Amino acid sequence: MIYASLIAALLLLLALVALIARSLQTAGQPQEAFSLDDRKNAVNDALNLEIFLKAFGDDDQRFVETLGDSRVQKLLAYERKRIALRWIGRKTADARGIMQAHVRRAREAKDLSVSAEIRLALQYVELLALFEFLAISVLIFGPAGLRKRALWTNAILSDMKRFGQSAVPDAVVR
Amino acid sequence: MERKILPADVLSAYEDFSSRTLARIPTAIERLIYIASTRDYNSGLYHHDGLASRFSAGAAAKALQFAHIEAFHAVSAMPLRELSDKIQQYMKSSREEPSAFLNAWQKLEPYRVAIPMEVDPTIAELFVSNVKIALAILRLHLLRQTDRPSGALQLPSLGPRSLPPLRS
Repeated sequence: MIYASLIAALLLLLALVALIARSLQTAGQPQEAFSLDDRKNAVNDALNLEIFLKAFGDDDQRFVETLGDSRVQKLLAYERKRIALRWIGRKTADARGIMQAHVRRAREAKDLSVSAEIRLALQYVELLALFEFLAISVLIFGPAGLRKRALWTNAILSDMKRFGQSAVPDAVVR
Repeated sequence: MERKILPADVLSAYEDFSSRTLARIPTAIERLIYIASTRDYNSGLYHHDGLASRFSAGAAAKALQFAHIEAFHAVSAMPLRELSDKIQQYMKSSREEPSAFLNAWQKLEPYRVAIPMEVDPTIAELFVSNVKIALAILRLHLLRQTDRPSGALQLPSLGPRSLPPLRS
């Protein structure tokens, strides 16, 4: 009886692995070309990120230090921290929005890919954890190390957006 | 922003507006304020008589909207040194007393009307934040100038080149 249960469990596991491998193959296939709106949004997103990250470079900090006024230095530190936290808040809301929209569409979809759903869920959890970490890091140490991590989180978010769209092809992710 | 994504008539209107009007306005901040002034506060629609007469009203409005977003992004991406420099130039060109100008800009925050409607909210906040800091820098500059007699210690220049003092 025990052996029979073990064999059944093993067979089920093999079937699951085969299913995930097949779904991964499908998910890895090239996606449809971007529409003009997608391209416009992608260009705008890249430009916005570039402008945002520019503000967290060293130039402004160095310039304000040359002025030798603690009030202006404090104002710069306060404002940069505030903007960084707002950005993190907005990106967290974006990630939640993508996931909620995906879940809504997934409920109506007929042929869901298990591996795609697992990948998306893992990306979502990873992003939320990263945003929490970023927010705490900015609160404690300030936004000095934000640039690199912001690029990283933004890349995951963009990937999640694209992947969420391809996982349920009928849907349009906003 | 990519100009390639504009329809042909809007692109022509934009190029005409850039070469005939914007090219004559010396600083990015003045260009931004000028373009924002072509927008109706109540409807949010852009209008420019000359441009609408040469092109259609719709194409002119879209060209102005595009130019507005482009000018806004240019100002938002400026480092604080350059932004302070440009606001100082604008303040001088306004012929207003620097203290009165700074009072009005710091209290009324009129620069908020220069924000286009269709921009990323974080970039809009960054713009407001940068202008606030630049105004604080100009206020500091002004205070130090009034505190010290002429010939006293000079502040670091705001721009790459040495700027003339706020008051001659």
